[in-house]
Amino acid sequence: MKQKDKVTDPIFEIKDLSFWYGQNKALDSITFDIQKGDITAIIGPSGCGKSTLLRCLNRMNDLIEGVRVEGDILFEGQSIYKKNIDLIMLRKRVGMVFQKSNPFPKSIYENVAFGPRIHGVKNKNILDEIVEKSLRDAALWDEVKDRLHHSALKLSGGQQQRLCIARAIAVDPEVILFDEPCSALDPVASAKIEELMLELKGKYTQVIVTHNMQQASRVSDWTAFLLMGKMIEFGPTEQIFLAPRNKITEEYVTGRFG
Amino acid sequence: MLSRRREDKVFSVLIKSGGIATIFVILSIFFFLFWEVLPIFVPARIETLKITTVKQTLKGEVFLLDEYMNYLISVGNDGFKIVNAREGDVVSTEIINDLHAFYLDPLTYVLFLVRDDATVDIFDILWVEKFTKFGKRFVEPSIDKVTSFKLPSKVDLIRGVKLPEDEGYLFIGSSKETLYFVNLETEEDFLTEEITYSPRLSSFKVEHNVVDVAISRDGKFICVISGFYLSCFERENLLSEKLLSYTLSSRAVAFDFLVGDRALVLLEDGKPPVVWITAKIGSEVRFVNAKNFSRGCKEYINLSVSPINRTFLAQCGNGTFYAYYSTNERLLLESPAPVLSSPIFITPRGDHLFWVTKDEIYTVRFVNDYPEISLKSLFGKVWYEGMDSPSYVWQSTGGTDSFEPKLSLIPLLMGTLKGVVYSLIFAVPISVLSALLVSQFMNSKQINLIKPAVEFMASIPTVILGFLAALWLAPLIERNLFSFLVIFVLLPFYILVFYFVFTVLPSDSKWKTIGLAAVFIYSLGPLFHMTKRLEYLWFEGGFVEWLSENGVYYDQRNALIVGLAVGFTIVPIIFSIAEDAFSNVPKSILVGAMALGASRIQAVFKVVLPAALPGVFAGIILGFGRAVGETMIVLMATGNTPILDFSPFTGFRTISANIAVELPEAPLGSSLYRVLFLSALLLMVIALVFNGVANYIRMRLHRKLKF
Ligand SMILES: Nc1ncnc2c1ncn2[C@@H]1O[C@H](COP(=O)(O)OP(=O)(O)OP(=O)(O)O)[C@@H](O)[C@H]1O
Ligand SMILES: [Mg+2]
Repeated sequence: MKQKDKVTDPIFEIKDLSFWYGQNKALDSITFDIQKGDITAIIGPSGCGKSTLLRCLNRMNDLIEGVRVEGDILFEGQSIYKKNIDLIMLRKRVGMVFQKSNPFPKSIYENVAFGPRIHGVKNKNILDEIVEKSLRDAALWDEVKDRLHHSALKLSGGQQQRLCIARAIAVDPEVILFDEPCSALDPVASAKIEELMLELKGKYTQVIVTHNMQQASRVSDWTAFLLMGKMIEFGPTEQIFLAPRNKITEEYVTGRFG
Repeated sequence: MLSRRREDKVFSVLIKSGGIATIFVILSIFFFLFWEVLPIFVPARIETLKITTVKQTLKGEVFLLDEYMNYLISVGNDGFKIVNAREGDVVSTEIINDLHAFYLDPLTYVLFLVRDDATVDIFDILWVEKFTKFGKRFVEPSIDKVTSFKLPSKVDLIRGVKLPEDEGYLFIGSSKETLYFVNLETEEDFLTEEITYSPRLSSFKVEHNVVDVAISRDGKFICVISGFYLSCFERENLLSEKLLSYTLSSRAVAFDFLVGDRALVLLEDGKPPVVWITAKIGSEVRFVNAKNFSRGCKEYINLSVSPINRTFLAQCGNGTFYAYYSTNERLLLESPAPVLSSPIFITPRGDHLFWVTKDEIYTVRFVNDYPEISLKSLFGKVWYEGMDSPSYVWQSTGGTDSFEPKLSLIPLLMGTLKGVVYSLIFAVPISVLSALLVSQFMNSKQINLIKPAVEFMASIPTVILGFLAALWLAPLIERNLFSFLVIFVLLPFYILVFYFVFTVLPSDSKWKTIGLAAVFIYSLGPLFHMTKRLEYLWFEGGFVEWLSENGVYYDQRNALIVGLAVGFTIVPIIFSIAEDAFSNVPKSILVGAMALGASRIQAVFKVVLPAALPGVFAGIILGFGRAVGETMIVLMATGNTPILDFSPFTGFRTISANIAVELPEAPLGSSLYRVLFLSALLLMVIALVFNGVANYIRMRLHRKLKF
């Protein structure tokens, strides 16, 4: 797929990043770049720090008590860990979709309109437009257009997850972070999400954490393999899956790891 | 394994039977309350007709039975007789040959006779107390002549009453257009203690023939029908200043004052009875037609007023009779009389009715225990005697037997509502905001400090809170009312200012928080002094005095105090339910909102709060239910005056406090007793409904938030 094997236009530059939960070191000197417009997958065994790394990218780890960061992450060349960074702006530009879908207990419309509203959009027509566009982009519009004002909690799991994607899209981010978006979904619903990610490619930079090797190989352009908080290998997906340089990577992607 | 299963079974049976027992207990309470209330819904009725045959022919026209119905006094144009009402034997006979007219007052037991030579004799009918050999009380009548006096000329129509407290007698006699008014005042000889009466006579001329006269039994009012005109006067201004003037539309059959002497009933053919009551119009007393009754006779034959309450009976020429109650305009009973054309009489206890023919006495039991209770008197506006307009009043007992009970539940319901509203005004913001704070912004260490404190709050006996509120808080707030109000209003803004300073200050150390908190607390002192100074400048030092000069009445124990104290008891309830609701909102929602760029405050107020709102609402309803039933604090911290207003500075009386105050005094089975049970039932229903609604909302919320 990819000809290049080096990140040329990084949107994120992760530099020697270490992360602690209290005394527990979860990330250890991670360094790699994320290519703008591409899909980057983060893989690794459970507990290796994938989610932690992902949450560092929009500083959602700040919500957890007693955490500490060392190193730095540049987003479009600007450090996001410097003082007085505008977290609201950062999270607006770097959206996130969670493992477990988490729609608000409001209507479908209100779920999607929530982001634009808190960022100051008040005009009803504009909101309508954003909602429709976001739902279309999330390939959900046709399924829900007749019940926009019904509770979002009545949707199926897959629909809820796509709603969360629509909700993230609605604030017009540059990056969308996916933390195991399909782990609670059946294969059909997962396939839809994958399809959607491929459709969104180019418009948004996407980072996905996944346990599903096929999924990673199908959708991503770049893959980072983490083990116990350390970056073992990073490179174009094809290379990681077909010709890994590291022995552990090979064992992991072929399923012989254990 | 087996024993484990058996254990499970035992527990499930225990839990189930516990639940059933609880339901059973609640149902029994309901049933008990309902049972005590039930009698008031049973309409008045008559039962068990008894007929006694009298062994002589009775020529009497007016009759009196004693309270045990042993003796009948019969008065007619030939004199009077005493008859044994059980056996039918005539006990004594007094034949008077020259009897010209007579009047027997059924409520003050006095008999006036006019002879052909215009002499008037006054007889007291005394009930002499006797006991049977088994110790059972009964009374024997004794008709004693008191005095007699002579009128200038013969009169055809006479009326008279015995004044209370042995003040003497009033007598009115009339013939055609002449009216004689005689006041017999009691005079006691210093030495012999002999009592004499000196009649003072005044005579009047009226424009038309006098048809009837009624004298109130306290001697205050006199009403006269002459021709087709009815007029009422105060005794001192007889025929001069009219308190009532009314033109009859047809024949007036009878009129009389009801018990209490402030209501006048008139029976006019073809109309329901007309009742006037005294009312204060400005500073003047007037009789107003304030009552409407629904049924009446084409042709009345007589009116009989109850000696014990405001019941009165009207009998029609066709044999039907009606029983009415004046206060609430109730038609108590419509029934055929056992005797067609004899007038109806009522016994001294008001519990039997009787009719007398030439040779027979018909008695029936008159079951009429709760005439004063009706939907109108409980929940409607009633124009009570002596008041200036219809109103909702609770005043269950008065100084005298003839007191008109005022049993409106509206002031109590409104008082309850008032107490609840003021409690919620204090409790809701505090408890909801602190629940929000605890569930969304605090760490577990802080929570572990707050929660036991709140639980402790709930465990304080309310009697202590009531005691503190009444004896410490009430005087304190009275002294510092102005400062209290100003600070209460300003505090939120003041806190906002500090919050603003907090966010603006750059440093992140915890000394910033501690320092600001210290400054905040320290600044309250000067703030307080400032308000004191303002009070001094604006209100000449006394805000409370200033209020009362401007027509705002201030009770030391008022709704504000109760609101604070009762609010204190319901804060833990609302807090725990609301906190539960907030913590039940999945954290993922908060995180999701923040991942979209919402600030913590935005996420909490725009996502968590709306999601938990039904739960918060349930907590408020539960607090409401609790406040409705709160008794001790209200009892102690208000004056318990059942007034109807919503001022924060006046007291009130709640249903629960009312029950606590009045139930010990209420005679078993009396109207008051029943109404108190009714109000208890009402309270219970309100509490159960509120609990039910709150639990329903919470259950729905739990189901909804479960993903
Ligand atoms: N909130 C937290 N507080 C303390 N330690 C945490 C917290 N979240 C994660 N950790 C720890 O950090 C390490 C990395 O966790 P992380 O959730 O990033 O792993 P992961 O790779 O996402 O695992 P999984 O595939 O199971 O989701 C783990 O050892 C975990 O126990
Ligand atoms: Mg994870």
